Amino acid sequence: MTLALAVVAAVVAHLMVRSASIWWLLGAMQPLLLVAAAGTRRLPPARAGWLGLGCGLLIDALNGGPIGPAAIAVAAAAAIVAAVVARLELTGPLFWVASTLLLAALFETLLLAIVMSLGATPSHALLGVLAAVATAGVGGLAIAVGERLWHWWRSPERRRRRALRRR
Amino acid sequence: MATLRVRPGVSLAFACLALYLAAAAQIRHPQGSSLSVAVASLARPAYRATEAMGTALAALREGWRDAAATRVQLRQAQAEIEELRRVNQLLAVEVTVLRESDRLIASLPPTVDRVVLARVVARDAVGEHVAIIDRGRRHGIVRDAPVLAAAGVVGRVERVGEEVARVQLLSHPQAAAAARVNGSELEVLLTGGHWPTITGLPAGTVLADGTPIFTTGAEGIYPPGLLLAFTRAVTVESVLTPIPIQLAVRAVGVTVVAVLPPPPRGRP
Repeated sequence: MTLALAVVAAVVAHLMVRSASIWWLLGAMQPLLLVAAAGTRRLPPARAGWLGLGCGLLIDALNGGPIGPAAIAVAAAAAIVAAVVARLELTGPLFWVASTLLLAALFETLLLAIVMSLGATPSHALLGVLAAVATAGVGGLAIAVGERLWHWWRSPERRRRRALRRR
Repeated sequence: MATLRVRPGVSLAFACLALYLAAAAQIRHPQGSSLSVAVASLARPAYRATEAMGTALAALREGWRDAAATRVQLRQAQAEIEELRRVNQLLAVEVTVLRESDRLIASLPPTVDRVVLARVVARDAVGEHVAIIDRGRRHGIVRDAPVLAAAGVVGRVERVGEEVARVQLLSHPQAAAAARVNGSELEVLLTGGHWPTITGLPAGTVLADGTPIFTTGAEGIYPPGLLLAFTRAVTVESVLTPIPIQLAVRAVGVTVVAVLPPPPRGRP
């Protein structure tokens, strides 16, 4: 259920950030990559790869290009990132920032390789790659901050402090 | 029935390979697929909604900016109004002083010369019975100079400073003046205090209410013929009986006075 909600939210965000009234740099963001990155925290590499494949298919469909290249790139990148996360035991804010940056970098690299191997012209150059990686990192950082705030809000310590203040 | 069990990693690789081939097939037909057209159609409402939100946010931001500018203008206008109100009050005071000065000059006897107009800057008409005026020795004010208002005699200069002078009001307990009730040639003594009185009228004299009392100049301070006070309706019982009177000038309402030169010494 949470995964489905996250995917829907990411699809909506994907469409929204590409609107003409949004700051142009945010147009490079791939919110579905954040969903794939979230899957790398607990899933084994193969299952994270399947989740990435689904997210990549959605990216392909939403971008209006040929179906497949982004799906393959996200699947491979998610599997690699899941293996790295499990190996390094990344958790907390470091997980979010590192996994999103790594996933975005791998995704862009693999996508470039796949598209060029198919004999097609990539949709963006180095500046676009950097923008995608940077916005993914910012997204990861934002999620990390939000997660930290959520934990603080629901922490028993905060409840005890509030209860003491009421007395 | 035989089942094919494939490890997730291998199946993922097969799926990727299949997608690669599908992508290659799609790239061979660059005119685009119906899927891309459908996605573009579905995405249009999201784009419009985002654009509407952006427009609303921009309008809100503009509104906030306008509101802030309006608040600044309002504060400036309020400050200007306060300043104008203050200036208006000062001008009103100036106009009042000028009108009183005009009345005062018009009321002065034609024989009076070298008059110094002064503003009353402070007064204690109840306790000390004095007033402070903004003219002093530098302006030619001397001790015992008579002080007039438009309605009559205010008092005399008691002390003189360089820039200010202190006036003893007629209501002061130690104030006194030689006086004459209008219609009578007898000289009486007007004395101040909270209840100013005159003494020296013969017994049986009947005074009407509001009869003017003028200076005679016998005490050597006030020139003759200046209005001092008004009588009350009373019958004099004896020549020593103090008869209450009403001073012509209420010191609390005086803002401008005329300081006359004192009469030459030796004059009766």
